[in-house]
Amino acid sequence: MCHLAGGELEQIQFLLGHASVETTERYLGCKQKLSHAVNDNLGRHLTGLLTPSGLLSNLVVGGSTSEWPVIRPGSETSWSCDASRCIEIQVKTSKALSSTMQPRRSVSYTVIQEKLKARKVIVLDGPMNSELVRRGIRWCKHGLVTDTAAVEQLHREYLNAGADVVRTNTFQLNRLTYLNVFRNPEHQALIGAPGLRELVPQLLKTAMRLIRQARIKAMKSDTVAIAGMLSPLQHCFRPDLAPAEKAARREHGFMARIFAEEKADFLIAESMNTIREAKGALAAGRAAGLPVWVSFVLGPERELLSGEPLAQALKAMEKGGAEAVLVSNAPPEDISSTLPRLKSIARIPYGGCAHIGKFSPPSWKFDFFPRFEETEMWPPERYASEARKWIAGGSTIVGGDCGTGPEHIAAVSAAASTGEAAGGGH
Amino acid sequence: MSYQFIAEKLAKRETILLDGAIGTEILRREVTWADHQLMSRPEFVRTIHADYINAGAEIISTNSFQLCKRALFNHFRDEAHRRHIGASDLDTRANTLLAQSVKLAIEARQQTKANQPVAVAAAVTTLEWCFRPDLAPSDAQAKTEYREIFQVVKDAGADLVLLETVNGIHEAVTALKVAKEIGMPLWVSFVPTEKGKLFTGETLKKAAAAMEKGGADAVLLNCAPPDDISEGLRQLAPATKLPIGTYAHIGRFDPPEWLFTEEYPPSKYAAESARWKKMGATILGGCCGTTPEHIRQLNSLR
Repeated sequence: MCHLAGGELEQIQFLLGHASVETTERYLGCKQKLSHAVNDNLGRHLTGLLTPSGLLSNLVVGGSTSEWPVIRPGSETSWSCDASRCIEIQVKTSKALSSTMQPRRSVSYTVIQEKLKARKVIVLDGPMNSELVRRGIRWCKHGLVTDTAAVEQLHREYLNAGADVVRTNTFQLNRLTYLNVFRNPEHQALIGAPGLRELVPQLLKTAMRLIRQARIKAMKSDTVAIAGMLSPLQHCFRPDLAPAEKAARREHGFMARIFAEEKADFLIAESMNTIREAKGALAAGRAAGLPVWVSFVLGPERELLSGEPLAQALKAMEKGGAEAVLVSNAPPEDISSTLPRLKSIARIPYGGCAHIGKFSPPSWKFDFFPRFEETEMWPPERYASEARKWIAGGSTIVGGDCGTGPEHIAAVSAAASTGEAAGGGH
Repeated sequence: MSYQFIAEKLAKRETILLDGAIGTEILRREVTWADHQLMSRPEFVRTIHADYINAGAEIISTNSFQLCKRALFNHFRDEAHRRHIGASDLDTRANTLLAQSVKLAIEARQQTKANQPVAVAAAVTTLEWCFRPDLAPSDAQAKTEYREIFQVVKDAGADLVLLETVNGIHEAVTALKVAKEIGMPLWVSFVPTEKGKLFTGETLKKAAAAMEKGGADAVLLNCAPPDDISEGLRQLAPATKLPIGTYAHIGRFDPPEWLFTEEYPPSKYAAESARWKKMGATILGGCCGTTPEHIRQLNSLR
């Protein structure tokens, strides 16, 4: 991030103690930007000073380790005093934005919005993570350091399959992912790899770059919208660990601003498992000036995984300014039986994504390891026939979750267009 | 049975060589560690054990870092959720893999012509994430879980349990009670901070006293950089009559993997170990980032 925020490679090399710039380049996975020296870009530099992300990059240069977020279950983020001044600025700015400004709407998002207004079906892409793992990618840093070509390729396949919205490869990617495995920030600094504190913003930017490239190459820049994907700060299936609303808003805000700077068309707060974190993420996204959709993990009871009623979550999202709500992370039959409940109560577009197969985490991994087995029970056609039910019931947003792939999305896309031809079930 | 020669060496305070890392060694050999590779590539795991035996290790530890039911179950909200969306073998998978990890170590020992007798230590970690004492389960819960784990590795034929990367006294004492009850020799290895304390803030002096009282056969320090191990040893050595061991990690934790660095090549690591021996450590080995070559270089310290 230090580099992407304008830090010179030589400086990072020095900070990381690398012997040569080549080592630093290998570590960061990028080349020196000879044509954009940091001090040539004063405007950007000043903007950086006013945001926590910029603050971070500046403190990195100063070698401080003190403004790191620590979130423990249900608690507020605690920030050290070094950062408090800038956080205040951030909060004030956020309030001003969310109360007075409408989100920025890009050309492609407007296209999506118009389609939804006309009650046409919007097809989301499928998962990045479980599909990359299925393809044999070693799951480390979301493949965003080692396997960028595979990531871009998969985005392209979803685009070719007919997705109207593609989502960044950033599920469960946040600063806590890399902090939770240490005793505290100091321990991370002591025994963690150099640059861990700056890793997440750097990966988010890489994820945005790859998805933009894929869309450009598919020549769909004006028709397909890019969703920056926010997701639970703690494990997506552990609502008991979810942060409080304010803490969630702060940390999601950090990411939302990066997505906004990197020209995401909107945000999806994906797989939220509590209302409190969803509210925080929604507010953070709107404060960053982007439209926000929210999806909720369904538990076996077909309410939020936390046990909170779905109807209550929907109401809270509508009140908070969400532009669509989805149900997700559950088997197809669960999505099918849940969506009809939204028909009479939702005032905003709604829909769903199902996962297929069985979640099979390896034994030692601390974070969400996206492996789903027994997915062959749900070939694309069977999945699409389930999606047809969703559309017939009034859902206008359908896509795929873990276990599905480009072929599922192609089948869903075909189902969506025939569904509309038949009148879309309205 | 293989523990007998180890017990004798312990009693005489003779130097005992442990093995080095296995998890990070799998990574260093360009294989993902996602499943410990216990089922999919057993020959690969056996080869690493064999490499450590050939390097001179007298104790090889099983490839079972953080391998327990809780680690799998933690990925779900609760049992209802796990049964609803989880793989069908999750209830039994951890114990199956644990037994397999012991089996592979024993097979590696059988297949390797070693100059030295070799004992198999079941590597068991804290029930929750090793660096997070704040997550530790209740005593009663820990007792139940350790009982199951220790029984599985005992039945599979492990000679001792090496409880590693322990972050607090409480959990170690609970594990000791269970080990006594089941009849497994137990070594406890604590992870020290840079100030030579436990992650809970407790002192190693207090920890050592608790280990003596609880009947641990040895107390060790692991999973910290060499300097922190040295600091821990400065606190621990004067505080206990138990045999003491050290195995540091080298390189950096780059979650979920490991960053290998050139900071501690085998000869330099051996020099550190020689220093620890002088300070009173008689059990020497390597943690994350170390390789068979690091262990080979420790032979001169025997």
